[in-house]
Amino acid sequence: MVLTSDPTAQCTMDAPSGTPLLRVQDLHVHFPKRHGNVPVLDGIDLTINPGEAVAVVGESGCGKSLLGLAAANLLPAAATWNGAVEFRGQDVRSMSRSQVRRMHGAGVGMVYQDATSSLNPGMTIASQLRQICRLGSSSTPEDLLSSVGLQETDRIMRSRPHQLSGGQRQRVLIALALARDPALIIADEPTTALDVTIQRQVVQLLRALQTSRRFALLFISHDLGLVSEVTSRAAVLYAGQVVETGPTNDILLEPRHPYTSGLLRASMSIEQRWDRLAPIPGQVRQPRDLPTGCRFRDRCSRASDACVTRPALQTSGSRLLACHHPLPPSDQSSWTSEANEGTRRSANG
Amino acid sequence: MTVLEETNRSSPVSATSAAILDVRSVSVSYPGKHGQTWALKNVTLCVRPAEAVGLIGESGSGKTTLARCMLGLIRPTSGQVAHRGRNIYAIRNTARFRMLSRDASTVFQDPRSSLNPRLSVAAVVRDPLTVLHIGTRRERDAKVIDALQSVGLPASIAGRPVRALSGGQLQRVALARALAVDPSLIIADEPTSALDVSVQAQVLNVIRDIRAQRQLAVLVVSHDMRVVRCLTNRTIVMYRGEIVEQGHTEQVYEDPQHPYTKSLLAAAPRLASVMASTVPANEAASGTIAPTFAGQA
Repeated sequence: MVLTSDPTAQCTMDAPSGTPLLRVQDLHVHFPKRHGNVPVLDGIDLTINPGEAVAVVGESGCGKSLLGLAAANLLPAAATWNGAVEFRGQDVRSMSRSQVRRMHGAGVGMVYQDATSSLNPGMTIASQLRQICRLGSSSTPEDLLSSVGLQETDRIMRSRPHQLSGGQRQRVLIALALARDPALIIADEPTTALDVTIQRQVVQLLRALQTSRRFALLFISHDLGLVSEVTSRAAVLYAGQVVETGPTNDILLEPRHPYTSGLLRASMSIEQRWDRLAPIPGQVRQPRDLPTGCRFRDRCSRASDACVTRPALQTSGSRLLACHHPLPPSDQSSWTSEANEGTRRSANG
Repeated sequence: MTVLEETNRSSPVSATSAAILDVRSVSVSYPGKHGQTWALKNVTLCVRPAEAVGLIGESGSGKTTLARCMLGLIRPTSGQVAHRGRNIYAIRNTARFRMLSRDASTVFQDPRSSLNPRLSVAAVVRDPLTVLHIGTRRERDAKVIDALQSVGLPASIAGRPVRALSGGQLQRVALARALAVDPSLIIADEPTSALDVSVQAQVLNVIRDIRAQRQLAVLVVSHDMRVVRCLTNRTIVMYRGEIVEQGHTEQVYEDPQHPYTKSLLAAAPRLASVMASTVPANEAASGTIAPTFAGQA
């Protein structure tokens, strides 16, 4: 377990000490042409310290991937943004071209969801790896492949992506991200395209590499089970806003925001085969249709008139929470009691 | 009906007439570099009316090949597939497709790539009815609305283009399309793998409801044991083209016999066990959280 359970060390998204590797402050991202003046990311704060593993959790359309791109200074040209993104203490806006290139080259590595579309189908794995290693790497292509747990490196080096299995491709992708010894790896749903057995292997690999190579990890996922295995801190994103953030363990064991609790209940209900599964009603709205105030209120069972004003992100114990009607602390009743009930019902039926 | 009569005469196969689809020692092989590659080896299974069967296994285990064989899309190298007692591969293609698509519909993994984004929802759901010449124009329209409502979509959605819908809505449209012809069997190939957990639960609920209302048989193909467990009573585990284990879903889940099934179960991310194992020792001892999860897992 890489999980550390020292709540004081990581109680907020602020860095405990030293310069954080990545700091995102009050980030707003707009797509003026597509979504008008509605911010698609709305006031995001996120800090990642060297060697730390942080998760960003939420449904599709919540802005998780966009946050990953913003962190890597790779936002699409159609986006306008304000706020601050600092890498190693330096504002990315003030970076010169060569500094940006250095950040993209040796600073940040990306692992995307779909390995098939991120590898060049016409090049052998060897040439793709060499292309990157030539730019400066502490390891050879062969070493990289064996470090991601691939055997038969000779055969794999000679292969093109279509000749490899999905798990092998994902490992190659991780090897490519590791090639320049980056300080930060952004993994955007790295296992979604894989089946469960391979998923498990890839997650274990990421964990092992993270311990041995000491890079920081920004892990983007909607799978709470995976998140709890890989990261120590998590930020739950809904419709471009952070709704709850703090130590992963605390958040998963005792979700306080109705959205976090809804995500957990959905997973748990499927896993434990409740008579009635517990989805979150509806879906994430298009940015233009988002309600004012709390963006979750149209799907929330606890919403009241107070929710027309946007709740501020406030400290509550070990976490930060943005909700007018959070679930009470250390009261699991709201969803675990239902879990009990669910099991009882299925036992009876 | 002429199609059915014709097939009746052309293929007298004695099979369990109770079964909707009966697969008898089916093998499928492809010529490869190093001789034959066997995608399916001697697979036998049947799906009876109103039964919910799960087919699990990792990528490449032959799940989808088997489903395609059952839908009349891949001719087996050896063995027989019978639909209500008639060998489907003894019938010529068009007749076979017509016969099967009236009785067995399919829901695919990714609705974005299986539904035409430029059509309206109504057009997508109506399509199989038109192709199979079912009902008059007015009856088709009524069936479309009826199908949309039974998957929990408002009738007002009928006029919207497919591309404007979210993933969860689209998968329900795919379900509605499958239901429109009043099939007795739905084959769902990874029906929720492309969806978020929150929406996954919505779609799973819908499938359960429909099954209860319509006495429908389903064959759920998935690599996710959780989904199969949620939806089915009987589970078949496939590995490298062979059935390695089958039985009552709960039994397979609680007491797996084959090592492959065990590894498949161990690999599934289980929130409950993860959470139970990460509870600090003192809390676990005080019994606040851990026993709840551990007891249920």
